[in-house]
Amino acid sequence: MTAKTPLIELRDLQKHYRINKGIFGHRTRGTVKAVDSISLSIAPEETLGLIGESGCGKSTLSRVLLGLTPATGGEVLYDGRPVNRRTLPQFRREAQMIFQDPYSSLDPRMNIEDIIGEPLRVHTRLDRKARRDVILPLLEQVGLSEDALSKYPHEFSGGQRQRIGIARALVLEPRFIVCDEPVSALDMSIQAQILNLFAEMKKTRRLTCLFISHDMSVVKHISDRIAVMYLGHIVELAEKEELFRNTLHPYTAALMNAIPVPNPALRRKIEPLPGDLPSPIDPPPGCPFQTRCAAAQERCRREMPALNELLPGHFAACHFCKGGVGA
Amino acid sequence: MQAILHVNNLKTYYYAGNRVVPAVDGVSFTLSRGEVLGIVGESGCGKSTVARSVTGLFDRSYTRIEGGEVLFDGMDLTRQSAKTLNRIRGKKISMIFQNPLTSLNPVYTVADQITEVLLLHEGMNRRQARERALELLTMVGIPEPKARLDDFPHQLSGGMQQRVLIAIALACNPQLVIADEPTTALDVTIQAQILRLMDNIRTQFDMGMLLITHNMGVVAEMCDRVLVMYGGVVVEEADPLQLFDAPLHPYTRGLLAAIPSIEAQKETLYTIPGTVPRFSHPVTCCRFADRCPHCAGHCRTQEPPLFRTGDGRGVRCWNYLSEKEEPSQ
Amino acid sequence: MTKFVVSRLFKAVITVWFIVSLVFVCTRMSGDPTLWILPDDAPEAARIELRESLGLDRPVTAQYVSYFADALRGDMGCSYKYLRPVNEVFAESAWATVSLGVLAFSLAILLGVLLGVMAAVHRNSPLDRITMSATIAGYTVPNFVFGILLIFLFSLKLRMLPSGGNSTAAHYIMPTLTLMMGPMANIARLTRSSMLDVLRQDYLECARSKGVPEIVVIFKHSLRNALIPVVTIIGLQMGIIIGGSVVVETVFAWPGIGSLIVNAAKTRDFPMLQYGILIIAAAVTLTNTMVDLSYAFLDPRIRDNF
Repeated sequence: MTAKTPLIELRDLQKHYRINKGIFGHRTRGTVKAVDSISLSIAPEETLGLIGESGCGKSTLSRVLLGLTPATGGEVLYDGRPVNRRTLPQFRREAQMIFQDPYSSLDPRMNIEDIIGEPLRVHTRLDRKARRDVILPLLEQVGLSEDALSKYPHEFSGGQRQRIGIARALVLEPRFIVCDEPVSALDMSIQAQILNLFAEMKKTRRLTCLFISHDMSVVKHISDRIAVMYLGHIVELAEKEELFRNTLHPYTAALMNAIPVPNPALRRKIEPLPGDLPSPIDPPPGCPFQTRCAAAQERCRREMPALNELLPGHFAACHFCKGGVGA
Repeated sequence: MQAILHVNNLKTYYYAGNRVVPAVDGVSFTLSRGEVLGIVGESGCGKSTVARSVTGLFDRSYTRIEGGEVLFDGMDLTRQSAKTLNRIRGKKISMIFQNPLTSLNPVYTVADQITEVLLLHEGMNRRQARERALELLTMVGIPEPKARLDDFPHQLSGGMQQRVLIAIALACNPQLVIADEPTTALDVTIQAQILRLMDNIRTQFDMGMLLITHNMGVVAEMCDRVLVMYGGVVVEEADPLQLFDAPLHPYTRGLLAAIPSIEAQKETLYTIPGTVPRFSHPVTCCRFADRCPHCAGHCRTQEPPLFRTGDGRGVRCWNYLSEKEEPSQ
Repeated sequence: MTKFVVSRLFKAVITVWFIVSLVFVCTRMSGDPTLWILPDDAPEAARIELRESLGLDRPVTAQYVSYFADALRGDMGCSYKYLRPVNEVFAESAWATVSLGVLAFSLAILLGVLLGVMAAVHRNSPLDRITMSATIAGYTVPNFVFGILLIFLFSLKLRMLPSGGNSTAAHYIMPTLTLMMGPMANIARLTRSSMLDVLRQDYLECARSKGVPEIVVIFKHSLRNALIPVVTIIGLQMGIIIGGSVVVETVFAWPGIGSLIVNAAKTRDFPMLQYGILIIAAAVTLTNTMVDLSYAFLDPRIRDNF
């Protein structure tokens, strides 16, 4: 890997929620460890894909990273410097988010010009005409026309709204974008359009991205490296081809097996992963995957495996996979 | 294989103000015992409407079956009274829905919701129904089924909820199960479990299954035959091997090319130009004309019929006719 | 679950105690009851002696403590005006108010829910529109106006119903109608909108797909869900009925507790006033507590939060 300073670095980032009970809510019933000591780095112009299922903490991670909710531990570094109260405004300008639901991420009472122009009103002193001069070419780049400016979100389809969301995220010319499942709510053909648009924007603007999804094929299409998340932990991290060629962690392997492949000749004969997604409240000690892992042993129940570099550039958090395909 | 359902030229229209939307505009298919027929398409293609038209499960204040017939068990379901339909629903034809959390009534227990079908159709008493409910929960693979009987839906995970819905659907040993996007709202690993369960059940009970989905992977995994729908009609019919290997209709080709693939790395994904237009009745051209790379003069003036090939396939495209060496049978 | 019940009851008791304390303090600050008991020209010495005998010369805190100490033993004090224990005085008039209140309350709920359900199921039909327009009148027209109109029409013009007192069953008709009108309108409107929300839910489609007849879909599957928000306002409606009963009792010359309380406030009959407020506070709090508890019964998702 290059020796450049990563654009984004997470060090032992933690987000724990306490569940309170008692008549006055003063006693703690348990702790939800939504994000449990995650360390990651994203190099400039790299796209890191983050994949995981419900309850793994990926959405919480994205919000803590951007400072939308405060972390309970650890820190976020942007361009080598920690993000704190002083540096947050600058960070907010340069780090933006594209949301999952095109139907609820746009304020229905604001027209498109207001929606896309809002970041400019907050962060710059441009007047209305100057803002328009910024918005119009951007609108064209995302594939919408000028007459969209005076319209309202409900007049657009899901795919078009997502384009508006992308325009809004890019209007301040950020360096870093977090995409939280941006195409999950869209039809297949629209998904393709948005992914293409996204890839193009990424390239022309030299963006660094964190791309979150539960869809492995989408993540593989758009990312350079992929991190797999389970119950608040990163369980595997590798460059994408390497991840598929050489899957180390049993959960990643199960995830790959579970995806229905659009090729009937490849109908899977492997048993699906048993059990349910565990509850993030008060997880048991040891490996988070122990309850569903076919190869779980005594050590897994006692000791949390660390995310170690088992192969060059390929990290996995498992006691028992050593440079080969996991059990 | 014994055919149990014949849908002939089904037309279901929506009436909104003075607009008539031909949501389903002439769909025909046959389904046999033990067979899984998939209907695949994007939003608005009419696949969910087809599913609901079979048993008449739609809001009659703005939806009507305008034509065609649904032949099941010796009668035309489109001409039956609500009472007759209610006797068939849940007993001979049952449904599994997309979102298991919202499909279960939040204020009644799991036991209540399963036994309801048994009390309604099988003439059991409460004790018998509860025992059968326990059997069903075990059959669909719910751990600790006895404890789960008195749980409320919100206390179960998404996968468990869907298993409960499946248990309800199976309770009276139906001949046909209609599943409308049964795994779309579930996580990937849970989806795999549910698909496996549905497959086992289908073979074990020799049930016919109508599977509605927008996911091509699920189609490849589960279906014996596939109908691709667009704009309210079937544009292609084939078995999965044929469909994925050599798709005939331009829409199917476009759809398959638009999906990011795990195996191959595509630089950019193919995108079908334009968007789905809004159709009004009557439709007098090929519905895909505006977006089709091979659109010719004929395509805009007359809607092509569903041409049948020799090997059990169907394609609704004028170009198919001209491409073939021999005229269609 | 028991924790939930216990904590609710505990909070109810605290609420009642707080209200009574508030009234206690306010009354002590409001003025001198002797002005109403003794004639205007009574000598100052007589007033002082009276105040002493009533215990009003002691510090407020001492009065407060002895009030509650007595109350816990069942002694709620004696009315300054009637010179009898207040619970006796109220008990004589209680039945009139309670019977009217309970009748109005029950009918308001029953009819309100029924109308709301019918309006929702037959949305935008003439029945729906007429009902909803009528309900607007129901909660905007002040109940005394409505009461007086009823008297005008049925007592004066048509001579069908009696207008004052509560001696026969027929006497109940107009006061009940007047009292229940506002709450029934509110309940009908909220039931309708809540039902409309529920009628769109997926689980109804699932119920229909099981072959459940439509009547059962509406009354078993939908109504129970639709009632959850309605139940929360039912507690409020009780408060409206209790407040409304004071006015209604005046309009219809109904011999109930309402007028007792109003007079007690006017004449600064502290024990009467405190007892009256205590009863009202207890009634409203009890109703709201039962609403909270029934809420947990109706919606199992609430039960888990404890």
